[in-house]
Amino acid sequence: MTEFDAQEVVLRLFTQLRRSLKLGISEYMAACAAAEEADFGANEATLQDTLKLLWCYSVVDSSQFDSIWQSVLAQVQAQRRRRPPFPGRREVSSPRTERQVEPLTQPQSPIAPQPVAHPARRPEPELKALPVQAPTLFMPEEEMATLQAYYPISRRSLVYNWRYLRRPVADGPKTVLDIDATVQQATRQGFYLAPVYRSKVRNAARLWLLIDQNGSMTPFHHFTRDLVETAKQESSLAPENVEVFYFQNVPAGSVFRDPYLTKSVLLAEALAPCNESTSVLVVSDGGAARGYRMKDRVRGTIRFLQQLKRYTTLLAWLNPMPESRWEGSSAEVIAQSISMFQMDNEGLSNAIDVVRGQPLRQHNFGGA
Amino acid sequence: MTESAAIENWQAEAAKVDAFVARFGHEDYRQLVNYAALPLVLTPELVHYLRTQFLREANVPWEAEVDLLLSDLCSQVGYELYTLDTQVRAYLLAQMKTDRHWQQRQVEVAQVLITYVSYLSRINPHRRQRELDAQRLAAMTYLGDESCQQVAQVIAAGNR
Repeated sequence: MTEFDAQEVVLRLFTQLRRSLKLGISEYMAACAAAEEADFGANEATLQDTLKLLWCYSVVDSSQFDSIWQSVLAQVQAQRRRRPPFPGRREVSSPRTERQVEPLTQPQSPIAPQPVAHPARRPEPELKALPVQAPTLFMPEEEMATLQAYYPISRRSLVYNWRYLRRPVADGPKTVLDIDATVQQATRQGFYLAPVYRSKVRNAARLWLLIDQNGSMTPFHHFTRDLVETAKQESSLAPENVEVFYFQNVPAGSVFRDPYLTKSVLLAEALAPCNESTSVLVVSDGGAARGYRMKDRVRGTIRFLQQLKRYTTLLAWLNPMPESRWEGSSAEVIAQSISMFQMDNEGLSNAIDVVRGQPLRQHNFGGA
Repeated sequence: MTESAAIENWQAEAAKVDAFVARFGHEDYRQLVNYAALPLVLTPELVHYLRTQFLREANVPWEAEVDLLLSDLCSQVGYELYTLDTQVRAYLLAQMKTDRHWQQRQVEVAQVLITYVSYLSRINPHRRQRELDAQRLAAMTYLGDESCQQVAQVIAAGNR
């Protein structure tokens, strides 16, 4: 069995498991002490058992530990071939550490096998700073956050942009104290009689999301999921004012209520509640992902857009493919009929400006 | 048949890869195809992860992920699941075997894959467990003889 650095394994495991297993610094210190005193050297299984005894309190904890253990061990073994040893090791004088420290003075090559040590040829030690690797190990290397965020627009940007989709309307009972009006009234009358109340302002904006699903849009499902979730749950829009419908390629005749396209509803029925103040955002690549230009698709889409314009003019199209890729595809033609924006921060911001009836800060749609 | 002779016999597959790279006029697309050949099954998230992990410096545009999944090199085998054409994958893996740089990369991708699969199992233990196991076993085969033996044992145990 190969030798390995128990301290490094402990640290890596700790950084990955501390949240899920609710580990504190005392657990980490206990594990470090155990690793140092027992000197597990080449015995990985014993270290694994010891750490499980120290950190795991249930079968679930134990299974979670095992999966992380495998990946950490594989990483440490792979990096041992390429990296200098863990800087936290104290056994500076041991022959094993000398063998590991020596490659620091040589150019690092990720492919080259570990050089053979020649302690006899080592030069006399000079009085200078030791080449110590920066201890960046507190950041877990296999950070999975990137899996959650779809490029080129992040979920955070989506949440931020939705905040601009507002149509403030003051209605309902007068429950909010209006200090300015109260002062003005008191000044006008010459004495204070009663406070002035006004109605609470609520966001009356309504959003209809029509999302192309499956086919060429499959690689963008992550984005469309985020778009729907943020609009429904993390925007200032009232949940009942956000409606989401799905279609595949062209919404001809009917659309679907679920992303798996199983619960169909007539398009006319879906659009019936729309009025001139409803914002409609269509999300589709319009054939740009595959680069096709298909007459039927263009014709069907334009017919659908004409139908939509009978209900509202607050329409915009969000295309997940960059604008440079619309050329020659159906999207290029469709962009003549509707404000189409590419899927990035600026594109979404412009699309929201259009669907709330505001003039664009920057004119950025194809074909116009 | 030697490996180099086998590669010569894969002209059709090589032409497919070349055509894909030429279509988008970006030589770094080839690297993305090579990375995508290592996992058994591809998802949009996995391709994105491979690009951000290994091709951050290669300047591969993000839409390359979409281009690859929607190209004729890949076929959709399930909801948000893709596989690379079997012959193309075999050709790319054989080509990588002759390249020291890619041999090392194979090991790194395998480690990333195992971590990724463990992560997916952890966040959603009941979802696609069979696919995740297959992915894990496939990744382990790149990690050397010991791992290969483990894989063989697991498969043998599963067939009993």
